[in-house]
Amino acid sequence: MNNPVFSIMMKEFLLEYRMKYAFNGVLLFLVSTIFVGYLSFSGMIDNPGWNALFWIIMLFTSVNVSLKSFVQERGGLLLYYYILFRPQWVIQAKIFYNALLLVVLSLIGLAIYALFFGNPLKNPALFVVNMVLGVAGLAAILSMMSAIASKAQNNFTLMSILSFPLVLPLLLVTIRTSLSALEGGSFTDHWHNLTISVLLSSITLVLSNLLFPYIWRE
Amino acid sequence: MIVVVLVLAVILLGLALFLFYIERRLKQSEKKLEEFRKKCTCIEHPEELL
Amino acid sequence: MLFLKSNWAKILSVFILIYVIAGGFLFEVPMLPVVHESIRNIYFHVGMWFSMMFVLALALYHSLAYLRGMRPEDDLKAHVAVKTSLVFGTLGLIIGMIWARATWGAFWVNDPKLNGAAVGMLIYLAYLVLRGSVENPLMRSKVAAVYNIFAFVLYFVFVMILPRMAVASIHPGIDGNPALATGDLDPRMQKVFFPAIAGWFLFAWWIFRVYFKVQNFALKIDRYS
Repeated sequence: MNNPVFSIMMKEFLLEYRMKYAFNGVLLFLVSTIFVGYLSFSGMIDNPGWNALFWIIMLFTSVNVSLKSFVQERGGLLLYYYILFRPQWVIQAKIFYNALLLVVLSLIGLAIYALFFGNPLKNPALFVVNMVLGVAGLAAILSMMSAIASKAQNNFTLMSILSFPLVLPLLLVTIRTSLSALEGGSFTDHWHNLTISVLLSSITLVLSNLLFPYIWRE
Repeated sequence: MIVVVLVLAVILLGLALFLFYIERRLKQSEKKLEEFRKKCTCIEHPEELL
Repeated sequence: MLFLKSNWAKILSVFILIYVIAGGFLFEVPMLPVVHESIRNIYFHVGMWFSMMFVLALALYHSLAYLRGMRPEDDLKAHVAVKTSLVFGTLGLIIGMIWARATWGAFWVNDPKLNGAAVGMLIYLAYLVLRGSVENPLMRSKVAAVYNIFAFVLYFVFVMILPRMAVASIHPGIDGNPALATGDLDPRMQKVFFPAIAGWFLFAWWIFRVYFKVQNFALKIDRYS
């Protein structure tokens, strides 16, 4: 319990629990987009389409969640963190917290998505593992981008512009594995794809750790 | 084929000459700037006064 | 290092490139299926992309140096390097698209290497947008440096590592180095290809230095206006 990263995460969680507005907001966003998708595509969606739509929705949800990390943070809280904690702890905590949040959201999202669009998953284990890894990696990259974008003027658009190119490698690998999981691929086939996801996430974590302190000092 | 080679070579030479020309103009401008600095009594680095 | 900045290096680069242009079009090339004569494009297309990566590595170096020493000239060098690399990248893309049309019938195909190239352009265009969005100059330089380092690592993974792990690619070079065709490069082509890379590197370095000097000078003048 003395671990500073853990304590920041607990703090974020408690704040969230008291206010609930961010989590509920994102949840609502998630359900609404799924529903819009359902209305537009109902009946004519095949496996690749199912997969693609799911990941597009997940991507936008992830951006939404990460925005809250730095761009939409209330100024006093950031100052509080700045005084008390080392920058590495702050960024790690944000990344882990966002990753956890996104994993939960993605599982809920998957359930609701399956509710509307049906569940064609032939290898659910691979799909879920891949989804969890992919979403965690997204959290890492997007949190760092949120930190960078928070220093600039037009934050929201900038965050998207910065994030999408950098997220593409991870997304590509994840989507491919995901499609294969839909159609019944096995773990052994896609072992290397999953390793790539983990690799990208770790690289991002390490880089964020090293680079975040430079932009943290205002 | 030889036409292509000649056209490309001309373009390349044009680029190279352009780069040389810019560098020469730069050198001349830098010299002029130095002379201007010597004559100028203005404050050059206001941030150092603080 | 000093040699590279001298006039000799610049003239050498010009001579090398003239040799490459002449040799590239007039020397013999092996007749491979599908590509036939257009394999000659390799001296230019690959040169553009390698130069882009080379200049981006320069940008990385200067961004790292900036975070170390906080010297504004490092930040300017990084900025200039990114802009130069984008020019090379655009040329590489255009040459690649013309080549694609000639050999594969379409300007663009869904291929990991091409996608990597496009994403690379987007990444560095985003860098320019980022620089334009931060008002405070000091914060701008720091943020740009951080993003540049981050971006280069991910870009490197995307264009160098992922395509090699892809299952099938229409773009040559899947079994090893993305630039050299399956197997090793025909010796007839080698004697133009390697000088081409050297020549393009030197030329790109020259363009980068001139661009930097011009921008640096413009900055210096701003002090007096």
